[in-house]
Amino acid sequence: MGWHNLSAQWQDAILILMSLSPVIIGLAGSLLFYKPILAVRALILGHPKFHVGFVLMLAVSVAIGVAVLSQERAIRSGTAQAAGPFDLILTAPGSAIDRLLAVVYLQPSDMPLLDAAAYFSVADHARVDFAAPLAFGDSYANSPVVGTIEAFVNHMAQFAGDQTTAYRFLNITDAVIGARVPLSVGDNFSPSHGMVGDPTAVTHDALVYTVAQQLPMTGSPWDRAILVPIEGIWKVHALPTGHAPGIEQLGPPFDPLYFPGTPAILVRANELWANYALRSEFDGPEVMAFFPGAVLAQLHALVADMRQVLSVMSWMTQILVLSGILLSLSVLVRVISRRLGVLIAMGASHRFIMALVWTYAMVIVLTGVLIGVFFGFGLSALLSDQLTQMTDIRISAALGPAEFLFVSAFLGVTALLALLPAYWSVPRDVQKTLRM
Amino acid sequence: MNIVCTDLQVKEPLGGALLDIPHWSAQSGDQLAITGPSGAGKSTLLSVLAGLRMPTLGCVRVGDDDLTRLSTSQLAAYRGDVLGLIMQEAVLFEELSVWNNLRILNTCSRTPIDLHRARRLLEAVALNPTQLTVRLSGGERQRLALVRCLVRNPQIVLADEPTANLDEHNAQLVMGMLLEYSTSHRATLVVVSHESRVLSQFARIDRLDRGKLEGGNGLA
Repeated sequence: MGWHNLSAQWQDAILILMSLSPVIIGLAGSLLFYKPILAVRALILGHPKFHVGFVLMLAVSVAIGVAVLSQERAIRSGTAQAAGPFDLILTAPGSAIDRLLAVVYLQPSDMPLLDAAAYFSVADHARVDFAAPLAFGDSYANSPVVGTIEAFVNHMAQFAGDQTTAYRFLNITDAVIGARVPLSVGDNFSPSHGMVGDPTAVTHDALVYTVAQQLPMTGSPWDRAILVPIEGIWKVHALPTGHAPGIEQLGPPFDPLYFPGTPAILVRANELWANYALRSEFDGPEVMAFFPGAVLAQLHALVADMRQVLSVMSWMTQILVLSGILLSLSVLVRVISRRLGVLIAMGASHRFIMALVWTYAMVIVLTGVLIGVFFGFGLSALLSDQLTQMTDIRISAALGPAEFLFVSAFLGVTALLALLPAYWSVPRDVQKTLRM
Repeated sequence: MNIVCTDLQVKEPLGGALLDIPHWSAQSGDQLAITGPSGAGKSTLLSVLAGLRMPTLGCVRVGDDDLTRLSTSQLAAYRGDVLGLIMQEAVLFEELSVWNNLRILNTCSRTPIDLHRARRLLEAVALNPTQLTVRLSGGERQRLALVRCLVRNPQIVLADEPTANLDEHNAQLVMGMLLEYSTSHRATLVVVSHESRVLSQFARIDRLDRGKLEGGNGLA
């Protein structure tokens, strides 16, 4: 079985184990053959402040590395997860990234409208399960108010794991709120004409919505959105309501003659494979059809390039830290040389002294690394929490193979490099060392 | 255990002679002192006998072995199993307890220490095993160093100014135990000192001056 036939998990596990092998073999050999723990304890207790400083320096360095790696993956995963419900999006041509940010992540943006022809070419397509118009531009407090249809609301609910509840717009003033909207079922509110944070927004006093239902948590900015019938949005902006006058219907089918346009359409194909055909079919000079996942992949690829740069910087930092460790250990070896000399005078072999100093180095490095991993995860969790609060995208910090590989490689290299101060530690002139 | 040094020369890196001793020996159970002015080479001789320093020329035969021909691991075994060494300033592991300062010997040598003997020796020098070494007085520290030296029943005991920093009481206790141990175990005892209170306890005193033996009792 070749390397490429192994699963990613096995590859990671083997790499981590290989990286750690100098540590495992070294520690096992040292503990088994030399049993230096008491002497290690004596050396460590000998200079507590030095060791605490050393361990903290190491912990901070490892924590930053672990936090950067973990956070980067958490952001990638969170943003991809948030884009989950959006299979294929149609908007007016422009920057796909701008449109992605506006539609998927609800970032305020001025979006030209797609006309009735565009909408009906999609909505009436045989391979389309539903085509949900999405109308942005209004808000309430910090929540964007989005006009849409029931199918979209139920689609979001199913994505959030609620397969049973039927979400309905029974009245034009019904609102379904996201899980993080600070309103309750039964509350009334009037939206403002303007996006979230717009100081010039004017309240639509003529329209009072009633919260009818609340969606479960999706882990996306849509948790802060208020979904309302698109007819109400059109109506309050003095546009046709999508239906002939006198018809009080909510949702499709819309009347092409009274369809005023929509900034975006979410397309749900009846078969997964049909999405590709639909995108090819609809993408053109008047309409931009894109997969959010594909745009996100481009963004992540860009971020990945930056990550490479960060990764190189991180490794350079680690090399500097390793050099610092070596230097510190070399200094420390001089500080403890008299004690090592005494051990030699009491019968310790040179090999024992090397094993002792190496084990001692690895004990303090391991302590620093373990604390660093713990702090790094904590830092990442803190950042994730802050980012989730700021963006409403559920960003979950977790330790993964990348962090473990980073830490194990760091430990492996340190274990090999620590052989140098261990070798240097054997006093060449014991008489002088002991000041005899 | 017999010690025989032949044509022993220790030179400084630049060539100056630290030791130049054509012949020197001590038999099992011998108790002897080495004295001389500062820089005479007393401590250098002791470190050569301890296998901590190799002579430039000559051989140091201890029992059947020539120390100059032993490997580093054989020398370590010699120091661990045959030799007991006391220095003027006791170098101890301050943050460990008195007891652990003895237990640490087990990490250095293949032969474990006799724990009952260790306790008896600590009682003899009135040391509390659980006490932290950092809290010991100068006299107590040297007494602990003495116990550490004797606990493995060495056949050769080398002591470098063992009473230099001690008051009369502690000096008597340390010297008394060294002499008593040497007598009871037929161990070779070599003490470097220039204190008359120490020298007066030895029948054989070898004098070193500028690396050469001036003569003395028991010189072969």
